[in-house]
Amino acid sequence: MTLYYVRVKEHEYQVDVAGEQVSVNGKPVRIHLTPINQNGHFLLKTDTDQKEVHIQANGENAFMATIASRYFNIQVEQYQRRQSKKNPAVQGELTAPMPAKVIDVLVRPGEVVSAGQPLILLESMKMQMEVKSPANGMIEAVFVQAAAQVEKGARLVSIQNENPRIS
Amino acid sequence: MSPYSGFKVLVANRGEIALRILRTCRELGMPSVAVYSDADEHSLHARYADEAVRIGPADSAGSYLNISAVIDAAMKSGARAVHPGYGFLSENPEFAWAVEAAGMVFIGPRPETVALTGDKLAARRVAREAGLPVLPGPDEPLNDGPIDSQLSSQVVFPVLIKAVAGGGGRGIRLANDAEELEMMIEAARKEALAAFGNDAVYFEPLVQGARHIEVQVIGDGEGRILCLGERECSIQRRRQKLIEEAPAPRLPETLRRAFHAHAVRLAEQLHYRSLGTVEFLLDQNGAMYFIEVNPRIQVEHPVTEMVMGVNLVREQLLLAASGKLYLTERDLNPRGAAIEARVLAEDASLGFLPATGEIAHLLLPAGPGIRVDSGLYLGMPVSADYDSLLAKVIVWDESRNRAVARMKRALEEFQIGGVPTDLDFLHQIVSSRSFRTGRTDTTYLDHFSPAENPTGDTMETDLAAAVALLASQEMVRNEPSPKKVESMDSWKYAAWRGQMRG
Repeated sequence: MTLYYVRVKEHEYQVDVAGEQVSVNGKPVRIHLTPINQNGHFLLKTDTDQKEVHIQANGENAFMATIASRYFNIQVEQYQRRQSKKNPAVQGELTAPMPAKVIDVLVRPGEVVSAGQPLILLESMKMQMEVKSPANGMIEAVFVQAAAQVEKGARLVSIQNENPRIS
Repeated sequence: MSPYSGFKVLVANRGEIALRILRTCRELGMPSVAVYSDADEHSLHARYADEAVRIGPADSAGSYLNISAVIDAAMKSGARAVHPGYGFLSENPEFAWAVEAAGMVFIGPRPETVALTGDKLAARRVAREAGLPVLPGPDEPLNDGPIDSQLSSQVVFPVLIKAVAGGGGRGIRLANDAEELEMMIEAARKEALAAFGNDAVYFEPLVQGARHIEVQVIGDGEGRILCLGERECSIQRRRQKLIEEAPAPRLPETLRRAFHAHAVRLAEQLHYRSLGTVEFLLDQNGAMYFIEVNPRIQVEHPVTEMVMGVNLVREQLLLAASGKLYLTERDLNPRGAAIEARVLAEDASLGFLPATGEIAHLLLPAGPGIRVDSGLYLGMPVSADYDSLLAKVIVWDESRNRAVARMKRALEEFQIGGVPTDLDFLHQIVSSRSFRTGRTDTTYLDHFSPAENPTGDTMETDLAAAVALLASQEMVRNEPSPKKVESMDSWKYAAWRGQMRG
């Protein structure tokens, strides 16, 4: 499972991809992306409709897309969540996707959280965004406090995955 | 063997209009020569022509505006005539003279007509003499230096300051009050000097809520003039036309006839040769005012062609080759309605600034009643060297309502990737109530604010999901044992990914 922060115009979306299972802001979406050619032309099918889309890389972590006559610049940041069994201590560590100011910390260590639940509120480039929990679990530690300025990649919180012994 | 196989035509232009002219040359069997700058070596117009001659660097001052380079290319290629298209040298009388002095035909009006219509004050004087309604104002340009108090007290605000050598909506400023006057005169002078090499400006009263109506004429140069109907071009932004149509909607028949009669009278007075357009404003009270003559083929000429069933460039080329105007009143069969929309490379999120890039994906609209004039091809660089016009979408149908529906379909079908365009903005305009009912004036777009997200949020979330999916596929690909992802053919994806690099 991989978590991405995707910025489309001024909106920020958290997208979780696990194989073909995709969820946006914690809500599962069913999309099917089929390449029509090798130049970035795709057919994008959802449960309700289909659209043609052109998606092209535009430098590091950036894409440009045209869909239904509309043009979008898109930024993609991947969350590094090493799901290594050897080192469970770093499992579920969330970091800042970009330099930002911490507006609010919404959870405390020990708190049980569910997937999609907002944990931290950040502000970057005058836009607020929520850092949401990627999974059900328990907050292990909180590394920042409100009003702090954080760099890209700075640790925010760590989450321990739902413990089967408890459930 | 074509009767015109000895009539070689050099097209002194680029982009869609060069291609449009070259296509008709081919149909008539006229050999053609294209000219190109370094930036356009691989462009469609340069590839399409029978011959292509390099005329200079990307900067148009050294190439498409370089009179001696163009004349040289024409002489060396043995051209018998030169078609200037629109823009660039098309309204430059020095160029028209140089073409004719070199023994070739200038495909347009006589050079003296080009000179006269290029001087907006002289054109206004001639129009007044021909009995056309003209906006009040002195026939002399403003003096240099500060405005004297007597003159400024006579000015009725708001007032337009226009370049004497102007055209194409450039060198025009609006002053709302006496305080703005000095500054706007200065700004208009600067723009006029940069664009036309002449900083003379004059006053023209602003006609509030006016519609832009223009009449297409063609003349044989001997005094016979044929009127090809009117077009409405009220959908303008920053004084640049964006959407044009023929005929003008909701125009009373008496006014329509009056426009045509005025245009024909002025063209007769000028013994007009070749294609020309007489431009007017129509105010809310039904009063019409002459503004200027455009002595050339216009960007929006296809709407007239669609409605009249005439190929204007063909008539222009035949007239140049034979000296005769074969077209008659009987050949004109006005029918239905046509609309043109200009597809521009521009970024709506940056205040519609011209955008650059490379055409990475292209699907043109097609089907009944649709015509696309463009020089687009896959891989075409869109640079800041030239204007931002990528393509013109022209539609025709039996009624205006149907033409509007067809235009919406055409704009929806048009897919361009790699560079932002105004396609969505055009779609919103033609979908608006005012446009659908034909109730627009030249200030319509000043107040037009398209809905921020007209189709709801799912487009963005779908796109976010799609891009994340693509990003994750690269991760999959980089892993030692890639997981099979059903929706993506992995070799296809790898090839696509490879193409996107660099």
